[in-house]
Amino acid sequence: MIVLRHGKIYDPVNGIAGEEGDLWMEGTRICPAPAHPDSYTEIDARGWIVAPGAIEPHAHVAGAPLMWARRLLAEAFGPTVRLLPTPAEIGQAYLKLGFTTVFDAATSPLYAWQTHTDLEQMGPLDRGLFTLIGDQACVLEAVTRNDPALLGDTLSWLLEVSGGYALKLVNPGIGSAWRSGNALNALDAPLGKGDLTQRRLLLALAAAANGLHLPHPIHIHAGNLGIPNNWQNFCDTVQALEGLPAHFCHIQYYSYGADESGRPISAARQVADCIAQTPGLTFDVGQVFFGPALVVTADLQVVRWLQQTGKSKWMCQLFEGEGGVGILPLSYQTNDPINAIQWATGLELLLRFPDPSRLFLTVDYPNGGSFLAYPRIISWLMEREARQRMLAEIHPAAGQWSGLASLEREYRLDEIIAMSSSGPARALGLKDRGSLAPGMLADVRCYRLQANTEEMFAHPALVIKNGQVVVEEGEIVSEAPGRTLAVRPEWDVERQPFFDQVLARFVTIDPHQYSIGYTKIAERLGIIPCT
Amino acid sequence: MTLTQAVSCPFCACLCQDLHVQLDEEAVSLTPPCEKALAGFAGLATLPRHPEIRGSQATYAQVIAAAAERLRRSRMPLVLLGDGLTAAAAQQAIHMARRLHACVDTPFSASEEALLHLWSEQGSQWLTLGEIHQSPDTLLFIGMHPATDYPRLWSRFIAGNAKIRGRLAAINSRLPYPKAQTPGTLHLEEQDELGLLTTLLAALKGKVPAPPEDIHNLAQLCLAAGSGLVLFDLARLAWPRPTLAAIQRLAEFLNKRAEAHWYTLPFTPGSGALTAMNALTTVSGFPASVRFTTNGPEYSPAEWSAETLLQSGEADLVVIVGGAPWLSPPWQEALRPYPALVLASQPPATSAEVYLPVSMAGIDSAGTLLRLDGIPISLSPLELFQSRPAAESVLQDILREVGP
Repeated sequence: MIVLRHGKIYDPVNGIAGEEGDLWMEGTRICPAPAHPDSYTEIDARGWIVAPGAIEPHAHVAGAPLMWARRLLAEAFGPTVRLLPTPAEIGQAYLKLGFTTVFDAATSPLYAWQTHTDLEQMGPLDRGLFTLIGDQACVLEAVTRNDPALLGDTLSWLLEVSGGYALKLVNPGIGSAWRSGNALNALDAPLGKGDLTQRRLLLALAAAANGLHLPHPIHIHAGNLGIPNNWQNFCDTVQALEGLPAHFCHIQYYSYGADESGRPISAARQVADCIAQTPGLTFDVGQVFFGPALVVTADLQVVRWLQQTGKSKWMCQLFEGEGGVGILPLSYQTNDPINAIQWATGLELLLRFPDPSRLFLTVDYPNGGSFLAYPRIISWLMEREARQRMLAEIHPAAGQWSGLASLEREYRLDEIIAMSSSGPARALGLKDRGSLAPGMLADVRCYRLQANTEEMFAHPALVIKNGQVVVEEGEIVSEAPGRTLAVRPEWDVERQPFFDQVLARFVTIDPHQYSIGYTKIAERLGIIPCT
Repeated sequence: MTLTQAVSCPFCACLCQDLHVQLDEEAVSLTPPCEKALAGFAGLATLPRHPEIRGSQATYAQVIAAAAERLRRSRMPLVLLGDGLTAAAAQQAIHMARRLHACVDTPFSASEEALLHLWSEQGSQWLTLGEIHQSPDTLLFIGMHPATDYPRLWSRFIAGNAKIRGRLAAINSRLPYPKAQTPGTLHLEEQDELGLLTTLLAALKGKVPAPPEDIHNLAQLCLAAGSGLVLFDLARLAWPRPTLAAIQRLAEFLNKRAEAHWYTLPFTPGSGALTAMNALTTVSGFPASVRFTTNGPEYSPAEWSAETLLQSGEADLVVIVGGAPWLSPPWQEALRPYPALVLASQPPATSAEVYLPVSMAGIDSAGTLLRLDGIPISLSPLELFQSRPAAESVLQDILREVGP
């Protein structure tokens, strides 16, 4: 048993915000204070904040695209190494920030083996991956046939063969549009596959996913990312779901209006108003941070647009039977008016939206920068003065074309904990974490309470995973392996010939090797029930 | 006894999974046919099984002890990740290098470096093999010809591809071209690839007022493409860096000029180059030319590539893990002064102080390799073949013997 004595406990789910108390753990779980404990390890947590381990709901931390990015950037390895360390180093860095669970935001089923191989390097962290489905051949065929039962089975099968935890859409249909040479810039634009539109695809997939009772609803990267005046299309996309549950990721990139000359300005107020009216949905922000970043996305249209406008080097790959991926290095600059507006827009969204259990802090690593920036971003949320100082340092467009300067809100500690622990846990359907109640997983982070919030969140005094101290004073002290979490909803095995037939038309590997079922990876997954 | 079995073929980077092999005491046959695979399967009967120390047969325990002793005495070992390595074997070899503070490289790092440099400078668009059926309507081969180099690639993806319909061109393929199969195909072999690409690009840009007919026709073919694919073999380009740059400039120009999608697809030699580089990237963050120090991995092609280390004499022991069909005369010459520990499924192509035959994925062990487009393929062992130890387990035994 371990007890953290006299800590300031933060457990937003249970309405506890800084009350001094003890936290007991036995084995891998939090337990009630025993009446007569036999033997236990006592840790003095006086002056410490004690909170549930942080959960990363959306980052690109593993998989083939990052591997290619490392190769692409091998020659520019100065700042890149820090941005794109190895999977093992990424795992360690997350742990050292107090994270105990991390999800990779997009994995192509064809390359799921690589993602799992990377995730298994991440030591004590629990982790999982989201399976890309929006351009998968069997999915498109099932949607085209207008057969919801077939579609449900197809999604379940894809989750199983890829070892996925949730279903992910990236500008759904972009692969079809790309191949047919069409631009995909509106919900009702044709995808180049019969009369299929993005709206129809989105709705069919969200409904089918909802029918599977997955812990996490469909996870959506919407269309028109990064384009001036895209906020209305984003709000239309939210409405297109017709009340079905979903998570929308990195919404900062969809929160732009346009000035008279068509340049982007913040539309955070409009988007915050829109999402406030959708209680069944959750969101993450995709905050940008100044410095090196790397666009890694299946949204080929965005990456091509960035490549053409910025004339940057890029990699783009098409995957058989699926969509593809684009990779493009960039740097967010303080003196760039658009980057400054992006920075302000993300913070404005977070500060305007009142509910930290529905809108989470992410940087969409590595797209918006490194997750190592979280402590700094938290300091901007908690201290108006800190963000005003930053506003004064960057291009004046940020102050001029966003509402950030006028916002007085400062996040409280319990709100920061809610947006990084209990909120993501609930959104992800992780019922065993995100709280410090007895019976929950003993995933705990402790910070020394101090005035410098950035310093405080950058250097946890202690991180506990599954009841074991894994980080002590910034050092990894245990390498007990974590688990890769996955779901395995049932599907009708009579569908296998359908999957095989469609795969045979598009995919040139043995259908039975699509994807990880033939490996031992599948045996090591931690299966979360669908209820 | 005759064995007929579905196989995943480990004998080239296509890793085809639709072959059936028939083996008996007399002969080997293959359906569908593939000369390259047939040669590989036909050679299985003579695969080595006995470990050797300086050419003399030895027991497994003796060679493990000898390898460990040699590694303990080494000041600077160089681990060369060869051909046919599974992901697990490559990872274990890299783990050993990290433990021993050794350098790790692949024999393909020079061409990989050229490719990386190009990607870093200009980027790249590529696609998986199956997309050849879906996307490109025009193919351009440079320095290679798949009908002879990759026979199944030709028969599976190109011959009879309705979308392409003979819209093919080959630049200096150096090999007999099956003109009868693809009438009308352009075949240019008068100059080297670099010269011809340069002329082609100039013609496309209108800088050659009256280009030769072949160049003119090729330029027209390229301009008319809705989507094109340039295939090239990294190991065969005479001038890798400038030729790769020319290929990329061509693809980039066509993407802009014709508003089409042009992709490139580099071929790497053998079936393990990409697997090894991926494994090294996973562990170190870098694909080749890495030295593990107490401060972590260092990447420097100028210092830690195999070529540099062998030329400078800085390495004092070479550990070759995986097959070595790449061991061309210059490589053999460069390796000659060095003591070598060789773990390979085939007989060593250089004199080895210690040689340990290890299993080959798809023949006498299972394992995952990456196809040339990076798709992971799992290979199962053939029945009938008695397994030899897998490279990863041998490496573990050696490391255990080396001690802390």
